[in-house]
Amino acid sequence: MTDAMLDIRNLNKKFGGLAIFSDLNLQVGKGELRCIIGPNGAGKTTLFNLITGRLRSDSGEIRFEDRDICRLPVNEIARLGIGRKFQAPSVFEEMTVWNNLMVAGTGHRRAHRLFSTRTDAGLAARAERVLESVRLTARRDDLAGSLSHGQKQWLEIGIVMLNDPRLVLLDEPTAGMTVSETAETADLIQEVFRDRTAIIIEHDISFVRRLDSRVTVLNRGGVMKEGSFDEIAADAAVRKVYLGEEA
Amino acid sequence: MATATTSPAPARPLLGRLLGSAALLFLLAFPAIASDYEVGLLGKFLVFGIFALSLDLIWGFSGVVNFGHAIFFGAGAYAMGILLKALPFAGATYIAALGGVLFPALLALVMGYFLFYGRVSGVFFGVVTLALTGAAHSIIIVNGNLTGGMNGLYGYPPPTLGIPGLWEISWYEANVSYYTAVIGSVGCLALSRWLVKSDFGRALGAIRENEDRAAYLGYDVPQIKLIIFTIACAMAGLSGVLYVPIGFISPDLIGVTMSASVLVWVAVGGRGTLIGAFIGALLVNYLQTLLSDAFVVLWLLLVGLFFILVVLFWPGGIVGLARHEWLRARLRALGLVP
Amino acid sequence: MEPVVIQLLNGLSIASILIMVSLGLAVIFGMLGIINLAHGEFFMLGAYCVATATAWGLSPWWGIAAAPVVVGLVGMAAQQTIIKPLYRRPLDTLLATWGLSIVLRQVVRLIYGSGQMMAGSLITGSTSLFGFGYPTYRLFIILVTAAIVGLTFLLYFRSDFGLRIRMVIANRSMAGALGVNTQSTDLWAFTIAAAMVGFAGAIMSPLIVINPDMGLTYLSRAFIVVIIGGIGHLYGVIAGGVAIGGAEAALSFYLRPVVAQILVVFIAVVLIRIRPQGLTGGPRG
Repeated sequence: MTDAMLDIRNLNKKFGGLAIFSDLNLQVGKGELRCIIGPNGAGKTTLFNLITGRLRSDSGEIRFEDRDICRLPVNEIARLGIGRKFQAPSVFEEMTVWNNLMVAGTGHRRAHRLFSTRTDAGLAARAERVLESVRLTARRDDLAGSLSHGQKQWLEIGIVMLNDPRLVLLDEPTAGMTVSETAETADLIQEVFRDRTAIIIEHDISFVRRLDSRVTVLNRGGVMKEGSFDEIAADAAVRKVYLGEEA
Repeated sequence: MATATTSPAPARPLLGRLLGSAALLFLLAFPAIASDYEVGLLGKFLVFGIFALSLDLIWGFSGVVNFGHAIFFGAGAYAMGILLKALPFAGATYIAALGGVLFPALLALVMGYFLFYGRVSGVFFGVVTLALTGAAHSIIIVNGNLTGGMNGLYGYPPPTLGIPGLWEISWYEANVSYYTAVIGSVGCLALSRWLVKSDFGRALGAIRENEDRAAYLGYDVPQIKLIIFTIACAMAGLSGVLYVPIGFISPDLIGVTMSASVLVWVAVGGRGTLIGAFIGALLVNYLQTLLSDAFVVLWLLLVGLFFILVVLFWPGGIVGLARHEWLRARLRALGLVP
Repeated sequence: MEPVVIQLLNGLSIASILIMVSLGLAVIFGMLGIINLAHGEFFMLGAYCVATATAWGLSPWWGIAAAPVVVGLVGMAAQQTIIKPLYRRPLDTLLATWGLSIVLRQVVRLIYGSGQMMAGSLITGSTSLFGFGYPTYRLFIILVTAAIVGLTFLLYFRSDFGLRIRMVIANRSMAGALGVNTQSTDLWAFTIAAAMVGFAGAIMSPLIVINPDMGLTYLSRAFIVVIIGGIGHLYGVIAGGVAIGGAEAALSFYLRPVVAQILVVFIAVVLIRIRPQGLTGGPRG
């Protein structure tokens, strides 16, 4: 299926003697919003690490827009248009909110272009828009370290969005958030990712339900089941392995 | 790093410009009010300031802890001295000076390429640079016929500036070597500020704080580190070149002691502040000359202790103190600061 | 052309020296991940203990006995004031212990001056081996090293204290949850390591140049030995010591010792670049 945005075929990864993935197959179509759930240790974050180049797979293919990205370094995969938001907010705490966005915006440039003195009006405009959509316009000159946990998460979403990635990987975007923040984030994500391809790892079931997307369940090195939220929620085996914990 | 909870100090361009202009005027007028000896001394301190500044670029701004920065300072001085010896014709000084800047840059390029692209960083990088600075010291001593060995490099023709053949002026002359040091300081400081305020500088800040995250934004981290490392080491080489007319070329310039000293100057002055490097270098060296030999040992001991304290509690150093909130509140009350 | 036996003994001799100096560092840095750039100065202080004893007209044994105690105490103080507060900040630990190294060197300079001192030797002369004479003291050092390595392994793998260290290395929070006093373990591990390298300095004192800056060369070599040998395995330091010592001895056959050492530094840097996990470390992360 080459019109899939992301096409993972027969992916294998072992840590020592432990097989994290055995012949994993996963496809995400263009413009799709996909949730990935699974018990702890199923390898969800490892999957993101493999896709983004942080880890090398043992064998198999990871195709992004029909191009094998298995052997590329992290920064080149990022430049191809894959953005990643981490589980723990990893904004640059010692820089201002504005500078966080600006430094994100110049990441795609070749090094010698970083020395140009011409101000990039296009980048500034984009940063303004992103700032608004993550509701942080008022905090633009504050150090990112002074933001609340939820605001840091939003800033990070903003950073990821700034460069218009064609595939976005969100790792537990609501981790540590309050109930109201979670609901707001669900809305934010649906709004911001309306025309984009995104894969979201989540633990919060109400969040997954609210997003109303296709869901993939990972377990024991492979895909256990895939389908709509209702299909997943109804599946007895899935309930036992995962949703059963939530009761 | 402790999480900041307040906004960064708002820019105080007026105060900064006033202080800067005053300092510059003082520096320019200094030879008129001081003896040749004092002029030579201040010139030397300024050269050390440039050396410290170059370390601040890679340490304070890029987070690369280099325990062997003196390699590039010494390499610059020795390259210049050796070239002066080898090229006894008019105008050779310029070529020697260029060599003194390019040779350390080349060393940095090779070393940086080898280490950064090999993902040698943090503690390992520190240990490797420490070992290399000791090795560099030994290399200088072992190659006595080229470098003069333990005794230092002697007997090269005096470096001359001006227009060869038409109007020559000896670089040894106190005012000449002093003003080249001043020009060098101002130039390097300006270059550094421009670098730091550019998009490149912002990228450095991101890399310093979280290399991994920076890579996820698309930055080619080893390449960027290599670029700043090469620029900074070329600057260190330049300071070595400017040192030659003022001082004496000896293995002391390239070994562990000098590498340790420059780290201390930057830490004491305040890393990551640019001007702190100059302040640290000037202050520590000036106070050192005030003390007689007997007290120098004690002085260095106290400096070492202060260094430890700075690392433990006070990464901002002296400049950090100046920016500290309570001091700023006092200055605000006095109407000196907005 | 010196016989092979002598060459082997030279290599063994250098390797022993390196192993003895690096053993403490192997536990502290290689296993617990604590950087101490004042390690060379601990070595230096041990040597100065014997030099002091000699200067006071006492038998060197007094110095050798005092060294582990004196240096152990210094190590204890350093651990509490510098290492412990900077636990999660490795780069700052690097810098602060560098500051400590400066301070220790200056203290010694203040007390003893910058000049060289001499340490009396307890064992002199040479032993006849396979028909050739070899300095007895060097043989003594090889034996002492073997003994210390044996003791260290015994302590590390067979004692209660060693078990506690291994638990902390494996999983600090779990060890704490299981009742191990991690703070006390940290403190004593560091103190013992300091005492060990102080002892090394004392034992080595008759053979080496004693001045306030002597620790610096041993510092970088010790780190190289530990890194090349492999972080994470205690016997890595043996491998590293033999590798570096062997290389230095072999190269000294053709070149001046100083040049051999320079060359070994470069080789070591290349090795660190190619294989940062060292000879015994596992596959790169």
